[in-house]
Amino acid sequence: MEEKTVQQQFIESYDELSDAIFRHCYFRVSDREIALDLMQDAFTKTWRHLQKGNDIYDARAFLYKVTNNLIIDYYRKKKSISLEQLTEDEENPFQPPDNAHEQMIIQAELSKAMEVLNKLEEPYRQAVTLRYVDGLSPKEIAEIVGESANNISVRINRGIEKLKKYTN
Amino acid sequence: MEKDFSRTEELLRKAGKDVHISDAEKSSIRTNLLRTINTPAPKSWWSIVIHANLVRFGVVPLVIVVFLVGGSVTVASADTLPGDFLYAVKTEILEPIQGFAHVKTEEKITYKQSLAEKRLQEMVELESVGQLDDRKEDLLLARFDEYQGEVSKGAEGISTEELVEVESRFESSLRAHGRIFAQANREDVEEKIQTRVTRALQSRSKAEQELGVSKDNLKDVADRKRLEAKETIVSARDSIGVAENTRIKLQAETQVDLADQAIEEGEESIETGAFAQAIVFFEKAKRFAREADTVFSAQQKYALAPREFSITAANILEEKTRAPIQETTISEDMSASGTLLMAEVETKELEINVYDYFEQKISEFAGGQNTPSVYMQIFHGLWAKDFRGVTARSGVYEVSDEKVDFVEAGELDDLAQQIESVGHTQLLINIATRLGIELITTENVDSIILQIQKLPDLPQRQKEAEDTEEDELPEIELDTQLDVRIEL
Repeated sequence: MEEKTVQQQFIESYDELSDAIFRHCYFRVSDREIALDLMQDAFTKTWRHLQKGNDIYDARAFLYKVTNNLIIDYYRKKKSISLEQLTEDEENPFQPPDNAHEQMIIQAELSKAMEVLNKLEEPYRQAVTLRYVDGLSPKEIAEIVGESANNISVRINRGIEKLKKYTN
Repeated sequence: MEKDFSRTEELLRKAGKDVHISDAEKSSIRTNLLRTINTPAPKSWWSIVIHANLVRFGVVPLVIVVFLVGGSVTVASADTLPGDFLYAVKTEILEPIQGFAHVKTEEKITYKQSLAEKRLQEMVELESVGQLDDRKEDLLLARFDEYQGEVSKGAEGISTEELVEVESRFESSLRAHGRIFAQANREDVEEKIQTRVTRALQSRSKAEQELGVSKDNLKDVADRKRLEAKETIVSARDSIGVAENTRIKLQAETQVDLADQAIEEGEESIETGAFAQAIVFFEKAKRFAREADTVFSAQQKYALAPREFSITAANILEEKTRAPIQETTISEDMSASGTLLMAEVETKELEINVYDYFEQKISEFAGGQNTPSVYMQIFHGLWAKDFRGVTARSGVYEVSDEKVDFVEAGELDDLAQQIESVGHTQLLINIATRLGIELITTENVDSIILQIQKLPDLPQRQKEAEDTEEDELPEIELDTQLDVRIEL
């Protein structure tokens, strides 16, 4: 079997992971267009890393790591905007494809989910999004965020506690 | 409260499953990433600083430029393309300054020629990132013409054998880039380059004629050219050795094999004392090897797919057919543009006539049943390998273990396996290449048809005949074959 080139492996990673990375960005920044830009930037940065001759052993973890850094940068540049404003100023909310009633339900549920998440401040939002939206284990999140799994578990639990208060 | 959270948790999980990137968005970003992959890494921070300062101050004093020539600006601008700020620094300041280092006429010519080739490479680079627009295309081709003109002017002071090399190099570079653009589906650019190929071919042919009447002792030159040609072939083979795509590799290897043949012909000429002829053959070998190398490198770098039919084979025959015709077409008193136009028209007509004539003839013989099995039943001199890469209506014929296999690529109906025009062109090229017949006139095609009607005398063909299963061959009426033979 022919060995795949780095380019081929990279594009395969994109095909496989772009949806998940986009979803993560979307739940973190609440803006579809910005989420798309961040997702593209994450893959571009990953490619540049490879282009310099570096190895990536776990593409998924690496991409989440790069994505998180980009999201942090994004919020640093945009720190004057509060989480409430993020919801109110949202110009491009998620638009599910036309599919009448079913899509209306999805949209309603999605709005609720975003509302809940938007109330949660960082880094709890990051931990809860990675845990419940992206479906990653605390150990995987720890690897991405660069902290111990124990810390992440604590953060998820605290995030949950906060959500309990907000939803109460 | 716990229940509320469970609902929220479920909501988040479900919402996560509902959010997707659309196919169009995914595809668009994928395209952007592919472009990124094919773009060199961005330059380091210091080049950006220099870039910014140049923008801010506008005019750069020559002293600073000279100071920087050996340093950062050189490096920073080396890979720039039209549209980049530093591109003007590269072409207007650095390249002319670097040109001062070349004192001898031959060196100056080589340098100018390398700049001309660089402009073609820049066109490919721009195309690979989707930035080759009409303006940049015209700019780069104008620059190419400018350098070619300067080379021609400077070439008055060099020997005829060196002139042959210069013109031959232009030709191979243009041919290679024409093929690259054809594979990138930019026929518009290919056409513009093709015009220049014709011009280069005329110049090369003229130089070769001059070489033929030269009274100089060319033995040493021929020996040197032979070594150069061999080195060029080794270099091309080194590049091709890393190929992954077998079809691309096959194409490139075929052309390098022909370069080898040209060397053998050159060596035979040396033995008979025809040194001028030998030089022509060695230059031909270099041309083939360089072209194969250039096209192959671009195919690898930009992931270009080879065309439906073998351009390599087509070019080889073009190479064989065009040169003698255009030499006889050109007369001294004709204007340059008139000569070019006539040569182009004649070449195009020639190609159409030869290939159409073959298709018409062979189709008549087969009674419209244009498939390899029918052809092989009628034309006993055909080999299985003659059908390699021959395209049919819904697929392509490939050859393995001396057997012809149909690789379907489309709707399978009654006509799916019928060879069409492009396939017939490929078939003719394959046969002509094998038989060593030049496709100059329709008489040559008749000669090819006569030869493939002959019974084979090679063991390989006998083996093929044994391998061919009787029941796979449609029945052909004997009368059809007899009629054909009488007609010929």
